[in-house]
Amino acid sequence: MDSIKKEVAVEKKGTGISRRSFMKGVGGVAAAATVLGMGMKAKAEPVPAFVTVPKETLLEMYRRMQRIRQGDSQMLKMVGEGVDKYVPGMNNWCHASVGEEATCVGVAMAMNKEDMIAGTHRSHGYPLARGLDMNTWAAEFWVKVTGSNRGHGGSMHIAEPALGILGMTGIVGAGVPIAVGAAFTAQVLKTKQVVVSTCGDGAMQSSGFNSSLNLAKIWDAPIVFVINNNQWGAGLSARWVDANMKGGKDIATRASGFNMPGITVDGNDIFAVYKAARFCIENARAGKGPSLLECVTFRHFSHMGPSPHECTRWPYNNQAELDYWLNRDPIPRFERTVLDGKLLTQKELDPIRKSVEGELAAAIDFALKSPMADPKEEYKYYVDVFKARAI
Amino acid sequence: MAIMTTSAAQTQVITEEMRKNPKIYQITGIGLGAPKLVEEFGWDRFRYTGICENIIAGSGVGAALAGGRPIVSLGMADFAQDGWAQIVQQAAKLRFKVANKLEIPLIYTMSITGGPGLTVHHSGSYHNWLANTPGLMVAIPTTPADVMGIWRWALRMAKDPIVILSAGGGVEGPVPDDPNFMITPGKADIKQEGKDVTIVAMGYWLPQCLTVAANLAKEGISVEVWDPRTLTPLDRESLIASVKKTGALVVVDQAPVTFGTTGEFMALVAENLTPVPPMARVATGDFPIGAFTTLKDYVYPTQPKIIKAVKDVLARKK
Repeated sequence: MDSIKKEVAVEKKGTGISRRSFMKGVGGVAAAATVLGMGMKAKAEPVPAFVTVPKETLLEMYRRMQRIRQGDSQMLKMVGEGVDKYVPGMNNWCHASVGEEATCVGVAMAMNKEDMIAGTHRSHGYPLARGLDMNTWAAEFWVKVTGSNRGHGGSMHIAEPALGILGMTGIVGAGVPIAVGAAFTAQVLKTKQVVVSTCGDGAMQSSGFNSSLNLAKIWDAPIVFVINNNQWGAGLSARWVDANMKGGKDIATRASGFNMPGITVDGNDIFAVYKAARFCIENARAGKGPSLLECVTFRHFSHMGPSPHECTRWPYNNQAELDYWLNRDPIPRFERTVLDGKLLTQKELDPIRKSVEGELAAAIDFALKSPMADPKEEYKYYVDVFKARAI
Repeated sequence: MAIMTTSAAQTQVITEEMRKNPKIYQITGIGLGAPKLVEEFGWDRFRYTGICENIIAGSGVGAALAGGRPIVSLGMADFAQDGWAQIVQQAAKLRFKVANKLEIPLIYTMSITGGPGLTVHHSGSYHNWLANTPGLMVAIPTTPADVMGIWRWALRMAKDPIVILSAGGGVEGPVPDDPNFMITPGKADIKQEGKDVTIVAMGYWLPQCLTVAANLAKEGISVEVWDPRTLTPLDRESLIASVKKTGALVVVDQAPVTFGTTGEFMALVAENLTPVPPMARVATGDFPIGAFTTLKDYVYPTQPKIIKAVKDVLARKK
């Protein structure tokens, strides 16, 4: 009973699913009314008015958001100094998730331990949100043999089967059909697993995305299509290349074209994300089919490094867009919500932030001191099995 | 002769030709086009698309069929593979399918990275796949002059789809002042004359091989560096003549060794010269490319490997 008493209810106004009206005035995008919009009529149930979040979960949310924020900020700093200072010859890039922490953590924490996730080149946020060990992550970033992928992947390809991370992909949109296939297997083998397909707004135009939605719905596969809509595909504004966004509409409206629920939430509000993700994931687990969850968010830096966001450069020259989103930073928002609501105290938050600082320092030390793989060993499998030839 | 980089040469020739021919426009993929060019020509001739290579590549076919002369940018060749279906099945076969009734003046451009590994989804070398596709022209211009010459030919003369690969390795170099300077595909170039051994090199590996040639010259070994510039059409006669003269062949390329590009050059020489001259190849291993940097010497061609191959064929020459 004690544990139940400790549970706190985080109740948001209305449905708890934020509307896109906050987009008003940013880049000239009109407000979009679609929330639990078209397509919801089929099998979806109403979103519960509130989701109770145990205190332990709140603390863990904060810890994981801090890991992503601090971890990626540090990597961006080091990349800014030039990776050659640390690991000569390594690729000088970092696909950081700074700014998207609430989306990554809100979704990941709504998943069960045995659930699966497939994702993108921006591959730090979700793995850390799933609970990937910081040492493993940092070592992979610095392409060391102690990393999650033994340094084969670096910044873009984190995989960890034990956490259901099927492997992130450097090809935009390529992870979506892979997630559909994983959901097929969960269905065939009756494992009750749900697959979360994550991609960005940049993947909306890729050839596989729409067909994946169709195929998932045909079979009512246990999958949730999460869109980290950070509104930018590399250097291109989604308002230039996404027909819905150009017209001031949500990406989630696409779901109605495939007879599945489409939900748009404020991706910088971790509770809105968490609640919507749980709704979608549990619906999928219950055999009610796939859904699309659009989390509207923003990355604080450029596509793959510490330079300023593309919106501040030619031809956009729109510093206001970045400022707007910096003011909606998901981490201070979380802090305000839990402190104002007296759900947590500053004394509970501070040690978490500090412990992540220590964790990160140790992880970077571990990574930089770790050796790099011996190629003969790494490629032995290919020589043995595929008779691969090296010259 | 102006001195400029390969990218400056490319920008200059495209700008000049866009001014002359309103049918030339760019389908820019994930890029936006250079600010100055957009300012001059307007967004209508810089069609940004988002990330949808299948659609980008396919739209290029239609754009050309309808009388345009599109430049279609696909980014890295790894990304371009989503558009392979359109490039290989549609663009390459269209002329034959309609018995020459249609022309497809279409330029695809994409990059293949040599040397530094950029991890599994950014490091592939697929020029051998493209060159193995009948109906496509495949160019790998390396020097600024070659870039300018090939591009101008493609922008003015091409009647078929041509893939212009940027393979790195391009440094600053002289470019002819002639505003009509063109290089016709199918004409190889001897980048360094020599008499003891022919090295076939292109892209990222061309400057490496020129360095090797300079170093071996100090040892009294005279190396001829032969650059095909286009894989399709291939200047077979020029290669055979070069090897006939030198009597030995080393082929260097970044495509994986097995069923890559290197075997074709060797087979051509073996088929045409009697006795068959000694030959060797230095190619990338048959592996996916990882991010860890220790793989470089093991996986890729290197200057020591090239020197070893040269000495090996010279030892077998007599």
